[in-house]
Amino acid sequence: MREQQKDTIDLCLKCSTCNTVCPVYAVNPLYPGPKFLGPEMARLRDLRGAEVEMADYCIGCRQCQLACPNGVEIVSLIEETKVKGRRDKGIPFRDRILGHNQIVSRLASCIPGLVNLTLSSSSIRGLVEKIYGIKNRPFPTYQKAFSYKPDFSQSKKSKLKVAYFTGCYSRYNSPAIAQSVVNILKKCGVEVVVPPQKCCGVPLVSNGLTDEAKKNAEFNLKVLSKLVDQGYLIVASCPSCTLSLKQDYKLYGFSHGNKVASQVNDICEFLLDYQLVDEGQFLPLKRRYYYHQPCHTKAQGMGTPAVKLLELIPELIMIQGEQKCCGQAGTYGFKKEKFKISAAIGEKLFQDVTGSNADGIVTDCGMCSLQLTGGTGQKVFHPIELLAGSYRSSKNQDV
Amino acid sequence: MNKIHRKYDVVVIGGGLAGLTAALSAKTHGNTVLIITKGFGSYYYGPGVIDLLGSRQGRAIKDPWLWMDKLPLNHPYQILGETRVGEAMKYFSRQLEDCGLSFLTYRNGGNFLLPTALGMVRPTYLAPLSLAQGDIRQGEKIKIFGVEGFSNFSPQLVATNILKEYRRLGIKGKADWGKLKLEKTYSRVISAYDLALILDNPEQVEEIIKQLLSQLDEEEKIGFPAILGLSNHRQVLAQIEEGTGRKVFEIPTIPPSVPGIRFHHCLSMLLCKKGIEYITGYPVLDAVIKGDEIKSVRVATPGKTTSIQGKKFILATGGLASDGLVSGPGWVREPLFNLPLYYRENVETWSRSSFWADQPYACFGIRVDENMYPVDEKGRPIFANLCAAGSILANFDGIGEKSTGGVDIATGFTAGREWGEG
Repeated sequence: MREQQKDTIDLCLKCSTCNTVCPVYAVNPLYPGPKFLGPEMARLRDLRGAEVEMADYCIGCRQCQLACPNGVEIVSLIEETKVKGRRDKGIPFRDRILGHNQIVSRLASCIPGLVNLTLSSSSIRGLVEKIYGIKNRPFPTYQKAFSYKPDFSQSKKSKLKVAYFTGCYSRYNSPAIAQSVVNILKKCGVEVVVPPQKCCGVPLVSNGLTDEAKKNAEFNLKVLSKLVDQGYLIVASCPSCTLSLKQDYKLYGFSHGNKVASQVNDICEFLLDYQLVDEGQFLPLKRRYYYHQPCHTKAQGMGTPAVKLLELIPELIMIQGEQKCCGQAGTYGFKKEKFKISAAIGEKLFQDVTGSNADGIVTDCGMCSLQLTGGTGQKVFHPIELLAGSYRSSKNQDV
Repeated sequence: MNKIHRKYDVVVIGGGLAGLTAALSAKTHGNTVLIITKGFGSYYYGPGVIDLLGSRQGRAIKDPWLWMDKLPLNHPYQILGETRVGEAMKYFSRQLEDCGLSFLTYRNGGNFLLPTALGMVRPTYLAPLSLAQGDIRQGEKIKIFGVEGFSNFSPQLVATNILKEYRRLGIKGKADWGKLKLEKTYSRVISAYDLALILDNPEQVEEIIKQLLSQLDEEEKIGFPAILGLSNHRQVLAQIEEGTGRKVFEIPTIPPSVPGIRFHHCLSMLLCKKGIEYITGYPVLDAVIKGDEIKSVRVATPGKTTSIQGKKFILATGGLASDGLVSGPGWVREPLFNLPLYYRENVETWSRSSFWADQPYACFGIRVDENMYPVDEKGRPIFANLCAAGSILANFDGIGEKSTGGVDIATGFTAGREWGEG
C-alpha cells in the first residue's frame, strides 16, 4: 500500500456518510459497506483469515469517496481488499471473459451480425448463464469496428490537436459515437488522431486482472506520452476511460502518469473549455431529454459539461433530476449473482426517468445506456451524437 | 455568444450549512452560482436541528433572543444585529418549507428542550416536526421504544434519564420504555440508516404498529430513535400516529444521523430546484489573486487541476475541525487566501483542562465586518470580492454556546445576500 493511502486510513471519522451514499449498501443487507471494506479492512486485511468475499460486491461507483467529509481514499482501499480476495480465491473463467472485454469485443466486431443474432437468443443466453454464470439479459450489440484515417491535408494549420482515446464501447459497440466525436472535432478545426490503444483497464481491474491492467496502462501511457510531447491533448468519450486516464493511471507509478493525466479531457469538457462551439452553430432540436450523469462522470469533479453543451441546441430541453446510480456498473450487471442487486439499484432512477415523461435519455456512458434502455424501454443517446447531429459548419448560415 | 462553463458569478467554497445558505441567498434568476466542496460536511453526524443560541456558562437558555445582546460585541450575532439574525432565520425556514421539510420554532420563539439519545436535554431553535414533538416540557406520559439488535440506542437509559430531567425541571410526567423486534436479520452492524430504510416500507411499519399496540397503555406519546423512514418519512410518521392514536417523536442517534440525512437531501433538492451547481469530492487548493481581487480558485480534480473563475467568492470551509483553518503549536493559518486571523500565539492558553469549560481555540478564526467581508485588525476589508461565513469566523464558540447552525445561517445568508443583490 502506498504511504499516502495508509495515511488516509486515519482520516476516517467513522461517520458512515460513505455507507449512506453507497448504492449497494442501500439494497443489499449482506453488504458490509465502504466504511468497513475500505478503511477498516485496511487494518484487518493482513491478518490471517480476514477474507472478505463481499468486497466483490462493490460496484466501483466511487460515490463514497466523493461524499467523505475528510478525504479518505476509500476507492483504492476497497480495491486492495478486492484484489486480495481475488488472489486468495482465484478468478473464475467468467470474470476472465468479462474482464477481457476488449478481446471479446474485437473478435465479435469481426462477425457482428452472427454474434448479435446469437446473443439475441434467450435460449442461448440461458445456456450461457447455466454454464458460465453470465446473466441471461439483453447484451450490448456489436458492429464493425470504428476505423479512422487521419486527414493531414487540411490547408490551415490547426491550433489544436487531439489524440482520441475511443474506448471499447465506441469502437466496437457503438462506432457512431466515435464517428460523431471525430466529425465534430474536425468541423471545429481540430486535428484528430486515433492512436493505437489498449483497454483502459477498468473492466480488467474490477474483475481482478490487475497485472494485465497495469500492462495496458504502461502501453497506453507510452503511446499517449509521445503524443503529449508533440503538443497533443487527449480526449475520451467514455467516462470510465476518462477517469482511468485522469486518476487511476497516476497510481501505477509510471513516469508519464502525471504528465498524461494532466492533458486528459472528457470530450464535452474539451469542447466547452476550449470554447469550440457556440449557440449559433446548432440546428434546433425540439425534444425533452432526461440527462443521466454517470457515476464516473460525477467522480471527475467537472460537473455536467454535456448538459451545458446540449443547452446550446435551440429548443432542446434537458431534464435533470437527482443524480442516481443506474446499477449497471460495467461488467457487474452481467453477473448472475449480482444482477438482482444491479436491477434494484437502478429501480429508483428508472422511476424518475419514466415519471419525467421525457422523449429519450442522454448519457455519456455506454453501460449506463444499456441499463437505462433495459430499465425504461427508451432510446438513449450519447451527448456527442446529438451535438454532431445538430451541428452545422458555418456560423453564418441562417436556419 | 460563447458560454464558458468554468466561470461563475458567485463561487461558494464549502458545502456545509453556511456555504449552502450562502449559495441559496446569492442565487437570483439571472446569475450563476457554484458550490465546490471537498465532501458532504457534517450533516450526517449532526442531529439535524438548528441551534441558534442554546447555552450560557454551561446552562441551557430558554430564550435565545433575550441573551443575544449580552454576547461580546465582536460575536457574529452582534456584528450582524438581532434584526438581521432574525431575518436570516425566517428566510431559512421558508427555504425548507419550499422542499417539504418544515422546521418548527417553539411557541413564543424560544428554544425547544429536546431529549437526546442519553436521555439528557438539549436546547435547540429550529427542529423538524418529528423531533420537535419530543419537547419534554409537555410533561406527558411517554414510552420510549428501542429496537432489538440496535445496540446504539438504549430505551431504558433514555427513559430513566428523562424521568430524572422531569424531576429536576419540576415537570409532571411519566417515562417508560419498551422494545420492538424487526424480522430482518443483518450480518452487518445495524445503524439508524439501515432501520430507516427498512421502515420506508409500509408493511414493516404495520408490523411495528402491531407490536406497539400490544405494549401501549395510558401513554400519550411514544418516542423512537430517529429511524422512522427516509424518503417516506412523512407517511411513516402519519401511519404510526394513526395506527396507535398517539403522538410520535424521534430522538437523533449517533451517526449516521437520519435527521441529518433528511436535512441534507432536502437542501440538495433545493439547490437543484434553484439551478445552483454543486460539485463534491475535491478540495480547493489555492487561488489566483490580482491586487485586492480574487480571480479564480484551483480545484484538485482528477487529471488536471480545474480553474474556476468567479466574480465573487464566499469562503465557508469551516474551522479547525474541517481544515478550513490549519494549525500547529502556536500558529493558525487560513490556507486558501492566507487571510489574517484572530488567534493567540501562546499555545498554552489555547485550551482549558476541564473538558466542559469554554475553550479559547474555538474562537479562533476570521474577523469580518457587518457585511461578512474578512478584515484586518484595523477593520479594513482584505479583498473586494470575498466574503466569509460559518465556523471559520472568529469570536464565537459554536459548540460551547450551541450556536453553530444559527451562525452558519445568519452569516451565510448575509454573505450570499451581499452578492445576490450586487
